Amino acid sequence: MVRIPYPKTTLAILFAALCLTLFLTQSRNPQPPPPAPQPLTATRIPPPEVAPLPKTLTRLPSADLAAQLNNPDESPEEDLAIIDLLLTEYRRHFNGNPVGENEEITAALTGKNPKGLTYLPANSTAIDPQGRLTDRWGSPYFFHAIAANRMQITSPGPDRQPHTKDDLTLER
Amino acid sequence: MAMKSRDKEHRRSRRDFLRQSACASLGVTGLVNALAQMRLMTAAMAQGEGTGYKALVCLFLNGGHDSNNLILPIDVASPGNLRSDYQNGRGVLSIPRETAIPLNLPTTTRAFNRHHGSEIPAMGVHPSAPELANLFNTGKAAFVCNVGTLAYPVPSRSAYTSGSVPLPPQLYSHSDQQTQWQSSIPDRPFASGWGGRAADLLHASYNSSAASKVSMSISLAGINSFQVGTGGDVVQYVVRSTGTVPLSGFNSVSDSTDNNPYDGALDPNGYRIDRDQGKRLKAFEDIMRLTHANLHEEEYNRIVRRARATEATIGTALTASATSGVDFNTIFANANHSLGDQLKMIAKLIAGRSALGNNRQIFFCQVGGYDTHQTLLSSHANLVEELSSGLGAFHDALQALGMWNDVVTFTASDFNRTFTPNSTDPARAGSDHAWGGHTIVMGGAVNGGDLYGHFPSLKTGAATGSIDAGSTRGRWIPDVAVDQYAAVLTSWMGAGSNEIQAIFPNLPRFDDPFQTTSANLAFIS
Repeated sequence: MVRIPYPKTTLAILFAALCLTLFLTQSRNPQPPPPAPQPLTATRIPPPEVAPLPKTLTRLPSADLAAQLNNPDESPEEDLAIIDLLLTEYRRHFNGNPVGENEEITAALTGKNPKGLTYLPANSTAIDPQGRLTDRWGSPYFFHAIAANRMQITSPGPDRQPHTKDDLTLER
Repeated sequence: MAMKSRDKEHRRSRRDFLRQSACASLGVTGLVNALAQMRLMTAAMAQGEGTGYKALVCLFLNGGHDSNNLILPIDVASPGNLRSDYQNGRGVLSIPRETAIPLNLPTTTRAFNRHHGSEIPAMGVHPSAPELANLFNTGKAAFVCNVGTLAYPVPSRSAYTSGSVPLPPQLYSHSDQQTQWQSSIPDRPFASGWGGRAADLLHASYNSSAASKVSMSISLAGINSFQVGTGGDVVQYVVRSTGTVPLSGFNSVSDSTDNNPYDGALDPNGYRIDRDQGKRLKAFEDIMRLTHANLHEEEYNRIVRRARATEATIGTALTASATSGVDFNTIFANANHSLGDQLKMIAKLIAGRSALGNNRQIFFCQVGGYDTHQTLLSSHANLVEELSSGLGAFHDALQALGMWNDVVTFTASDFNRTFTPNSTDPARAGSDHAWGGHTIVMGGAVNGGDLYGHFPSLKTGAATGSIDAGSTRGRWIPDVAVDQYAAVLTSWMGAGSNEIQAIFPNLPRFDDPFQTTSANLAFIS
């Protein structure tokens, strides 16, 4: 039979060790789990009314400039510069570029915007039957939206194929 | 013990009272003021409280991830089924169904209820994502479907085309959509990111100011919008995949490839005053210790001093990680790329977390190349391979560290891309900017092996059931707002319902992600 010397001291040491272990464990993880989430709101906040687009359009002077698009006496670079100018004007009035695909951007430039401003005549010969702004070779431009005030405009060029060496790109 | 219990109850009711007071203030003050008040209150409430460790890792896929080919239907195509819509819409960008890796979807999944009725189609992931498929099929990762920026819910294509619901400004624009994803407040000018706002509150609640030696917000990808806070208490700290961003000019000329950027100026005993580099560093640090009456100069010195102190802390954490017994280089051997390097550094910092002194940590990392306007099939395969191998290695590292249950990783991106290709040539075709897309969440707390949110209809244009935003290109109107997705993640970090409302002021515009079963957002326990 093994005899434990000083049994009271041994028990006291063991008790102290147990207390220390409990204290350390508790102090490491004293945080109760987060309470179950409460309902955030009783009802959903509805969207505000959005004003309809104006029915009357206002033609801007830039619309006259747009008549020069695809002019055989000018260069394709000039076409890109004109489109860039139209977008710059648009940004001045709306604090950002028109958004979306070519046909959506073209629609915004021809007056489908919150102020009914026309930057580009809807009957421009540069607009194809699908409502897209096209280059002098008949291909739709590609609008790459970088930021509210930056747009990359690309013409697929004479070969009419995107992402080839003859593409023409302007970025401002 | 009974006394302690009563104390706890008393403390809780005090917390409840303070939180209610903070909530009441939200309606009458601006977001910044409300957050500042709540931060003070949560700091007061948190006195003496500690907690286990939790880390949130944001992985931003810069450029707009084409998640249409990350998870895809793989049934045999038959008229009107999802695979048929996939093939018809994706055209030359389709992934052959035989090559996709099948996902084991539970029969209880609700991700198809909204747009596809009760039938659950067979789904798979991109063939370059075997690690991701394995994480999903073992219940460790999940996908949240069709998440995107929203100012208000857009219930239908007609609501979009009629303009009857306010939309996030500058949809489809890289910079704006990145910012809106990271702020979660698309209809206001950028002021802060949701990660930063969460850190503002959680740092006060969970991190001890005495123990915390580094910012709660650590970025592996430079300064970002996500971690911009409102009060300046939590300032994002940038590290590189190789370690801290040191002062330049103090490395040894003859030993420029080592990992000690100060070995030209310091030796283990202090400044190497026998060298110009040592003298310069000593002089520089002496100057930085001076005080200035000019506030700008004083703040500059404070920032430099803090950066130097944090450098030492990060060094201690990395030293601790080296003694963790985990061989990070071996684990990340198959993830030897930018993402793998960033995740490896995050894993090391988690391993050395005791040196950092935070109970809550938010990490930000980022990879680019996702703006795949051309050659999508080949470039996306490489991107998915990087993503999958990186996440797989990160999982392995966290498992080895025993930290898998304490870390949640999630992905975000500018936007999804158009479902239809922009060319008929499969070698050149790409996809363009779109809207709602699928995200990945992984971690021990994630209810993995399921799809959350709502898998979109893959019909384009005006076809019945289409949620194509206006065009015919397949730009999915999001079913899940960034606010909802982010609120679930932030809640896991320990934010209560009032903090959630302060961090996500637009959240009441959407279905409650915690209480509304049909939102299908219970992706975290």
